[in-house]
Amino acid sequence: MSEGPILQADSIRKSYGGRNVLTSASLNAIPATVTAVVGNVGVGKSTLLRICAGLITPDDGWVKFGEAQFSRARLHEMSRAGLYFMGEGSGLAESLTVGEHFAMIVKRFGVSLDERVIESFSLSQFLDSKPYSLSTGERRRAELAIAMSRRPKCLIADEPFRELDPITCEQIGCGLRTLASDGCAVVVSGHEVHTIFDYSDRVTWVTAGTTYDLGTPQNASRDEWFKRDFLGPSVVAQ
Amino acid sequence: MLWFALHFFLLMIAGFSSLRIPTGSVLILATIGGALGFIDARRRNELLFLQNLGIAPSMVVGAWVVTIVFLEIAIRFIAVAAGV
Repeated sequence: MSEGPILQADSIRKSYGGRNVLTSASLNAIPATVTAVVGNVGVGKSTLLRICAGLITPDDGWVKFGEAQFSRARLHEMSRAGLYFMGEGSGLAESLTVGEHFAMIVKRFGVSLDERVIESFSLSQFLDSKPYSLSTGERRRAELAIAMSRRPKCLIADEPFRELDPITCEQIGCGLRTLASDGCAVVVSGHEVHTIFDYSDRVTWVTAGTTYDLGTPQNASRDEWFKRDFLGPSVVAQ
Repeated sequence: MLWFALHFFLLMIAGFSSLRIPTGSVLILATIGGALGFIDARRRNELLFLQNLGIAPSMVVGAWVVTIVFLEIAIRFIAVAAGV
């Protein structure tokens, strides 16, 4: 927990069609830590995560991954250095079976396939299946298992809990914690605050174009401004 | 299949006078093939996974262009050998 961030983004500014989405946002991904990125719909969480992953070019600001600093980061360059990005939609190639995804990761990065990962996500019966034949939960489990088999230094997961049942949420959450316990810096976004907080060490709040590091989920839950403007009156009343 | 369809289309326009198509048309065909290959990879959700593998999206276009140019060169050799 004392290591410096492996991924840093700072002074990020991004606008779409004259509308400022991010004005001065920053994000740190720290090894062995799960960082939750939360905020209201449309505040720019996904934009920030996609900028950090090199899928969107910011209007201003920089991204640093490891020792390399980018004004225009690119995912394929950072992924060679250990970044893995799980997007909001499916990150599985429709033309490949689940097993072929694992095989490509093994071949490309020279890692050995950990059968326990496949077992823990109950994927054995889906290895010969194409992604389009899987449910949302099965797909998400497969995607995280593939990401885990890469053994990334940093995983950015945009809304991995969206539209999932509680059991699958638990599997995904435990997978993220396993990655963090292996030293991976995990960044996860979403609106399922209670689920995300259960698996997070730190909270970054995206609001009004900027970001606030609120510390641990417990600290965040005690922050009056955060409670009033994001968690809502029902949570404040509790 | 994509290359075959594009090549067949160009031959159809030319009236099937030869198996070979002009060099300029090969370049156009390779460009169109590269663009269509990229769109197809995007449609099949392949680009994100490829980037996670460290493969740039431009490599997808490049692979299509190189394949089409290679096939066109091959067809020229075959045409010369067959005398058509």
